Amino acid sequence: MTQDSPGTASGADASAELAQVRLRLAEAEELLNAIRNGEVDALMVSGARGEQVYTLSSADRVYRLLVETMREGAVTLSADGVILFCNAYLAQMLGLAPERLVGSALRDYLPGDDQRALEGILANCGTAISRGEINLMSSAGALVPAYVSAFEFRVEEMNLAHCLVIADLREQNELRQILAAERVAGSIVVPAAEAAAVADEQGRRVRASQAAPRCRDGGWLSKYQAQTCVAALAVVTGAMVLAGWALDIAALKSVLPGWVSMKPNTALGFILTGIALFPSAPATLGPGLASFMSGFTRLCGLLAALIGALTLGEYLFAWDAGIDPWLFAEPAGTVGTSTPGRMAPDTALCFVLLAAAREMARSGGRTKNTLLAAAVLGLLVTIIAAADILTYFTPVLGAWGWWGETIMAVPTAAVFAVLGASVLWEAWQKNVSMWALSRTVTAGFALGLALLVVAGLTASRTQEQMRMAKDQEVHSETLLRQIARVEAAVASTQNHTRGYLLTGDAAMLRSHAVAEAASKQALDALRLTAAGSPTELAQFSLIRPSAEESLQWFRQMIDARRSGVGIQPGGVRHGEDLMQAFRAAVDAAERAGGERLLQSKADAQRLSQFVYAIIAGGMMTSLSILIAALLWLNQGEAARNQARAQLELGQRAKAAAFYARSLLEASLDPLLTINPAGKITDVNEAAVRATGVGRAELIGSDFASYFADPAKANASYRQALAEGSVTGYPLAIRHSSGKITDVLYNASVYRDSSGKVAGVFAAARDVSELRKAEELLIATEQRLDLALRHSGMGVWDLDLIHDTAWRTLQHDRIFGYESAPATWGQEIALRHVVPEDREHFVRCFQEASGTGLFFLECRVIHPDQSIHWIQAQGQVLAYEEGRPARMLGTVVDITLQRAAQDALEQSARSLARSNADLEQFAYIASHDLQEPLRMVVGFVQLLEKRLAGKLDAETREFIGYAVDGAMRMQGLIEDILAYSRVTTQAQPFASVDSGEALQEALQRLAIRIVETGAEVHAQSLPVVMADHAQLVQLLQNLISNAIKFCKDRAPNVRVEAVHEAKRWRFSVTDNGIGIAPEYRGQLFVIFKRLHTRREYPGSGIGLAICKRIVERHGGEIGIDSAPAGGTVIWFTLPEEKSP
Amino acid sequence: MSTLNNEFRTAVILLVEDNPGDARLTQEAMRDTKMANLMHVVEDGVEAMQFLRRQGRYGEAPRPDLILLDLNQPKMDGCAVLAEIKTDPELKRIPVVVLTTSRAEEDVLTAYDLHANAYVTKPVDLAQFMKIVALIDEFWINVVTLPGK
Repeated sequence: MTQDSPGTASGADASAELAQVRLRLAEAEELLNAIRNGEVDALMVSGARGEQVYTLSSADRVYRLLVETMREGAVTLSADGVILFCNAYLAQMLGLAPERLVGSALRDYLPGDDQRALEGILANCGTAISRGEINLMSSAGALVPAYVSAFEFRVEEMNLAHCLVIADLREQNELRQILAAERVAGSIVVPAAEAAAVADEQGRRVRASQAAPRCRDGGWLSKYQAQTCVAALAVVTGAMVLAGWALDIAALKSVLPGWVSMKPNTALGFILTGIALFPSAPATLGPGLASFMSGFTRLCGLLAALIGALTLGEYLFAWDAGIDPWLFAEPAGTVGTSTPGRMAPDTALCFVLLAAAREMARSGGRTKNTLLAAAVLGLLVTIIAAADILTYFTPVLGAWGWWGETIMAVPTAAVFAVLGASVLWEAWQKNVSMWALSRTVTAGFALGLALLVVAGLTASRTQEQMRMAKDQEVHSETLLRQIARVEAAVASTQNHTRGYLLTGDAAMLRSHAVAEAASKQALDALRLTAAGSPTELAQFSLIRPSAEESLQWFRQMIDARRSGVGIQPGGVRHGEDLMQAFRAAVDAAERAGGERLLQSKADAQRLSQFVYAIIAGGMMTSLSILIAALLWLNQGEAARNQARAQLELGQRAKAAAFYARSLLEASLDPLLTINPAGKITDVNEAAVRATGVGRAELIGSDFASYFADPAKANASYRQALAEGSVTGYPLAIRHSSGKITDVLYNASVYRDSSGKVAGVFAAARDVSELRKAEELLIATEQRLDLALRHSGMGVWDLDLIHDTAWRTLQHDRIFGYESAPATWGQEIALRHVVPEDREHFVRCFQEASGTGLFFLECRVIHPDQSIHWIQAQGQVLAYEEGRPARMLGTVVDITLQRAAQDALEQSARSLARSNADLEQFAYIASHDLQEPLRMVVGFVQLLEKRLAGKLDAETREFIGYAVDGAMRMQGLIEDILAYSRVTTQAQPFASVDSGEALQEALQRLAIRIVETGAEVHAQSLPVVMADHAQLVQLLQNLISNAIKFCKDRAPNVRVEAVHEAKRWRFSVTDNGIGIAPEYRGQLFVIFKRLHTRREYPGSGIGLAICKRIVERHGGEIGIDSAPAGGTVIWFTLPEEKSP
Repeated sequence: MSTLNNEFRTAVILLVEDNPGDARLTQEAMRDTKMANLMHVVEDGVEAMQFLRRQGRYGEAPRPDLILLDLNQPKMDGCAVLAEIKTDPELKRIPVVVLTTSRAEEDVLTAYDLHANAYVTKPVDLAQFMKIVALIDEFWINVVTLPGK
């Protein structure tokens, strides 16, 4: 802008100022107009701060256009990230309108992580452009990957701003993914073992594996280029020849004058076959057109075949189909053509073969065999053509081909060769992957086949020639013979003529006639024979006139003679001259004939030589080729077999390796291989489990570090290396979790194929269970040992088959040995048994073999001759063939027990004896003691009775005392008897119903009860284990007492029973006189009485007996006072034993 | 031959008793019953058998109607005699009353096992003894129907 100017006071200055202002205004207006019109790009202003440049929007337009249309997003951010400006592409990326974006924060369109990334990028802009990848979030919520380039700039002293260019990475990412996929696909396909190829729609090979055969790259045209050329060749050749026929150009028909011409049918056939051989049209022409074309070509091929077949038929069946001249007619007599206008038979055959081959290759292209057949047919065609060409260069070229028919023309053969080769090639290419033999071998075979065919063809052709030569020879000989005959006949005629002339003999005349006729005949024959060949005919025409002339002259002469005309003087000489001329002609003819004969012979010879040569050479060559091919095949086969064997070996090795590996992995023991440096080289799954460390970690690590005692592990390793192996080395593996496992470590050295030590193979067997079992076993054995020692039991393990025994020391001690005797067995044991018990010993063993259990008690003699009782128990553990093989048992010294037992038995016996004695005594007492008593009592009473009146009261009183005393004696005896019988007549205890026993007792006391009016009450009384008779007696005594010791009232007795632990407490309660406490103890003593006999009768043994009975039953008895003043006698009896 | 109850007839009683005193007492008791009995006394079992079988000096011995047998005998034991009598087909019909001092249960059982007709324990008291004898006499001679001879 303009500089500020200070104000002035004067008006002139004011107007000058005004003018200046106006000027400035005009400038400004101009400027504005210029700007408006877009003529100005930028303004440079000098201001207080110097010159500054401002670009204007018109200039901006270009840039604006650039920014708006570019395919990246552009955005300007303020320092705090607010969008100052953004272009349309960014708006499109974010899916929002640009107006919405301006003024909002860019980070609003970024996900959280990317916001930080963006900040990072912006922070990094310094002098250089900062770049980075972030994700934008479109309004639709999709993540848009983007590449950001940011740079910072200052705007007009404003804050720092950032300018960002944001490139959309979506497409790039997609391409990246595609590329990655491509790479992956390639990495899969290319190294594949199988042949694989990937092609696009045009058939272009996109990707192929290494194993895929090399197929031709490129488009349709190049692939079938060769085939197209061949077909075109055929068509062109045919067309040219047809043109030659049409225009009658000999050069086109038969290339060289001496060569056979290509027949019109052949040319047509070539055209048709050429069309047929065009490769199938590409699919791009459209399916309809393609199929039409393929149909059309097929038809053409078939037509060609038809022509060929018809021609063949014509040859074979000598039938004229009329197809030969249908295009153009050929004049007869052309070179090498048997039937004018008809193609050679081999041409016809070739057409048929070609068509067949094409059909097979086209339609049956899938099957190996049809392709093979097509290839063979193509090969045949080529061979035929080649053979035909060859014949042009062999010495046997005659005018005729097979069977004297037309020869194939050279161009025909050439074209066929090419066509056949192309068919062969096509089929071969299609089939080559299915063909197992190598190319060399196949080519060799093909060559051999070709040679064979060629040799055969040539041989057949040659044979034809030979036949012809032979015919020629025969013909020549015949001719010569006939000439000779003519000569002879004419000579004979001459002779006869001369003869007649001389003699005039009629016979001569006749002979002459005959000779003349013969001459004529011979001449005719000669004419006939020579008719076939013009040269011979020419010679005949030399002979005939002279012969005929001679004959005529002879006739003339004869006629002359016959007619009497004389012979002209020069007649004979004329005849001679004629004959000379004739002879000369004959000689010439003979000479020529002879020459021809020789020629024929020579030809035949040559031909036969040639045939031999061909046959031999051909045979040899093909044989050698076949042999070579066979050898090659064999080699190839051998190589294949070797490869197969290698493969099998490899597969077997792989399977073996796999099997070995799977075994190793399946093993439950940790297995390791350790290299000479002590590092682990290989582990199995169990090792991973045992150490708790991953496979990758284990391999390469120090093996000793996985053991609780690494030094010990190392020592074992060194030992293994030094000695070659180490077994059963106890170690402890430390699991990563800290658990320790006891193992037994076996290691052995292994070597590589050269015998060098490659490392150590280690196996560890977990023996923690084993350890535990061992400890348990030791503990059990300790306990057993202790038990045996304290029980004094000896253990023996007897091997009955070998009669040896394992036994403990205690066992030997039981037999009286302090130290173990060297051997032991059943026999030795028997020797220690006392003789009386030996039988029992043997019997016990026999019983054991039957029942399996052994029990023996017998006496043995110790070495110190003392006798001890032993008890042995055992069990048969194993049988062998039905007999016990092994017995295990214990033995114990029971001498003390036995002694105790004996003592017991003895005391029992003595007890029994004493009981018996007592019983005896009691019996005696009951009888013998009472007898005298009875006597005393009886007779004293008898005396009393007798002296009844004579005795005074005093005397009677004395008698009374005496009797009384005796009676008492008797009672005492009876009581003693009863008392003793408690034990001597004791019955074994049984279940006794005490209620029943009470009833029995009451029955016995029935009279007393009735007499005294006693009442006996009893509640239900239990069943007890008791002696029935004694229980009855007990109850009887007690109740009798209760009734007896009752004064002034009717006795009332109560019997009760109360259950206590394992026994019953009975009580007999009476209402009698009672017993003072101080006397209670005495009552149970035998014969002790508390009252006089006068008061209460009884001997005083009742309660003693009761006590004895109760005590025998294992019970107790006692007296208490009853509450009502009577007495309670209680006693206990054992309860009934439960069964 | 049967005997009517009212008829008095003379019964033959054989007493097998080794103790003469006891025998005397028994005889006294028998006399007291005032029944017409004829009592023969033998002192041991052997003689008893001879008497019963009319052997030896007892060839003319009458067949007794009742045998009173004391078990406690020398030589041949009373039980043996009893057994002998009761197995002899000719003698077993004769009722045998075992008259003995023993009250032993086993003796009683043995006697009855051997088919004694009755077992009586001799009381010590004379009066009682006499009563029992009278009873025996009364019962066995007069009440009971004896088998005929």
